[in-house]
Amino acid sequence: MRTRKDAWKIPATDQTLVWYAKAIAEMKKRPITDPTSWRYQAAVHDYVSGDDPLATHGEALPTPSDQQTFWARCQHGSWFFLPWHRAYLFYFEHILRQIIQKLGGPSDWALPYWNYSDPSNSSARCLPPLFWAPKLPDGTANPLLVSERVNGANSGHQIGTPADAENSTCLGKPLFINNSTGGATGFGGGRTGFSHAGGVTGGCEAVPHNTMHGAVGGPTGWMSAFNTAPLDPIFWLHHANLDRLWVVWLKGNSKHVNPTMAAWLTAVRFGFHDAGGSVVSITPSQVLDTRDALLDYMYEDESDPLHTAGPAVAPLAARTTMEIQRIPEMVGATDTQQAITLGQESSSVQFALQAPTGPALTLDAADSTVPREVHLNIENITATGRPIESYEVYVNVPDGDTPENHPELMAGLIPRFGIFEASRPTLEHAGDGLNYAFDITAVVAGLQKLGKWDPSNIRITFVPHRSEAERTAATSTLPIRIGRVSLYFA
Amino acid sequence: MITWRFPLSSRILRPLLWRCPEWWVLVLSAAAWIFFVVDGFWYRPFEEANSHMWMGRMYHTVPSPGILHALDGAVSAAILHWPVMIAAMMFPLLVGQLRVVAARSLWSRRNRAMAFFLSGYTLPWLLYGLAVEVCRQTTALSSFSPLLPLCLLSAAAWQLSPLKRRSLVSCHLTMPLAPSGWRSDFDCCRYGVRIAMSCSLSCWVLMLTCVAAYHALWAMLVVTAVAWLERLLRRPRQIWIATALVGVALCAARTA
Repeated sequence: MRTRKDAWKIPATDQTLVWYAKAIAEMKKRPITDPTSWRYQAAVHDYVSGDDPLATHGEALPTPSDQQTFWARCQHGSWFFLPWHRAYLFYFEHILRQIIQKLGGPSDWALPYWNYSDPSNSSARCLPPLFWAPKLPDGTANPLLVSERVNGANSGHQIGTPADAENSTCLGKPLFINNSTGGATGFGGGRTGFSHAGGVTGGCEAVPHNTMHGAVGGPTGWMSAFNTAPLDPIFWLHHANLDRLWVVWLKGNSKHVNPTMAAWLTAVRFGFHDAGGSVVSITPSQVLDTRDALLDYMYEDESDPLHTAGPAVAPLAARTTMEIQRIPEMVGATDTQQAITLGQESSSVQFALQAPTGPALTLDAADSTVPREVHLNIENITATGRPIESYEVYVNVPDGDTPENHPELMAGLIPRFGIFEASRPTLEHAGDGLNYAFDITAVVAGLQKLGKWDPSNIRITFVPHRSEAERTAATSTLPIRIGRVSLYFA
Repeated sequence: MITWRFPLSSRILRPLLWRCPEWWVLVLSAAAWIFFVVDGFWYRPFEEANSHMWMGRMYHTVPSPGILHALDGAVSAAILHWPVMIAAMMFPLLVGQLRVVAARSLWSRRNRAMAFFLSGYTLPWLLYGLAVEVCRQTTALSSFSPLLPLCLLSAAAWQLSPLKRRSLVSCHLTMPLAPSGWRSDFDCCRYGVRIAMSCSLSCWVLMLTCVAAYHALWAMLVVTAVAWLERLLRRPRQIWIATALVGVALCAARTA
């Protein structure tokens, strides 16, 4: 069985990353019409005609039928996010391994992962050094170096903030599926059909997936957009880490289980090409276990950080069965006439709340000891271009106070990744933007304890979220627009 | 004293209905299908084609060159017939949107919000139906059946067009909805109109096929099956659907 190694822990004598670089160089020599080429593989994730940074005038593209069948297939805002990307990485790794073998490399080569959340590594959020080295050890050009990254990424600085790389929130999600229409978050995403841009973003997709995409890419880098992200070699290590988190989540608690519905397991087939360029198809049911005969790989570290962190596990186990029965009830939302435009400065929005009259009320009446869950939904987030900023979302920050002084009131992050692509009506997107749901039960409980929770009113504050490098670089902004903010009890 | 108890306890039934707020819309749709089945048995559309009767039990319209007569017949057809057809064929496709509308509304307004959404959704289809009926009546086509293979071939071609693909994607969009007041009703209605615009653009040729087939049950089932398939798969292999439609067109041509 092959082992996907932690890129930061690979010994100096281990050539895993060097072989990765050499294989990419080989893939880059192939024309985009070749399914095993670098650009074709990136286009499988997404391709926007006219927005291909590597396009050359008059070059031949695959047939329209081929493009329609195999390109722009990435699954986001969907319960297929994890299985589709696992299969995507598997066949990409297959292509790489065959090239590496031809070049004389190891036959058991496996894609490494980038664990930017590793608490034992103070440099975890820096790119592994070979990704920003100008040359490979043999003195040849380094294909892992991409200049289209955030300031500081290619000089060994920390990327993003700890909040961008944080993985305990998603690993603490008791359920895989979140409510597709909002009001409850899960680890893997909401139930959708095959969906290039679906409903409410799942827990691990929101953070650290979307946040780290935006952190590496910055305002204009390749990692910040669906169609260019796979052109940055770090993309594949980032997704290997997310794939690893899926394994960790499943192993972390016996009640953490994948969906069992046929609609998820077998109803949809994902189409790819193998190393020989032959068409292959695969269902989520075939990628559930990385150790089975087909996938045949494991991760160097599959331990659950929450187990060592302490008390998070026990309450989860107790909550799981109740979560399944919960039906979210909306208790308030902003008016659609109330424009919510986020720019370079902080901004707030306030709206009235009503007492629940449906399942949330019944839940209280039936068993007052069951803690009510509170979810904040940010709906239909759109932008007319690539947003410069990501945003932090806070609940009920006291008047005149600085939100950053109240980390206990932070609901979550709105990453910039994918907003522009999800805002453009195209052949693949409806153009209605992205949706995020934040579990703010703990925030509200804290406010209640302090007597600062007003059951008839809530104020949400949005603050630009910048890393150290971005604080110095940000000079202009492209605003993002939020369709509606709503609150759910469940 | 005998007390009647509902067979399903509220502990089972109520959460089920809560999770499926669109249940009454599906009941409406089922009723519409029953109407078509019964109507189809009583009045065989193909046999009646030569007697210039169309959906005879509902209204008897003899094509007339007079524009007022034509308009009158068209309005009757659009108002009486098309809502039933939309309820039967299109309402079940809206389960996803109805759940979005319900989930994004205050609990006390869920059914009202869905009703406004459906009203908005039906409106563009009625206008489309009116246009088709006016065209049918003013051109004095006593029978649309010769056009049936042509409609099916057009539908097959439309399936492969980028505009069709784009409109199909738009059928799944969501919109912000105001939480209360007239603005909430307006937003739900507007959302319905927006979805209907995408749906009608996506399925206009298919619906025309139904008209050309005198709303025969088989045609409605074929069109419904295609629409269902597209909604479920989101990105279906349109070449397969187009090929199937060409096959149906050839069968229809031989029958005609």
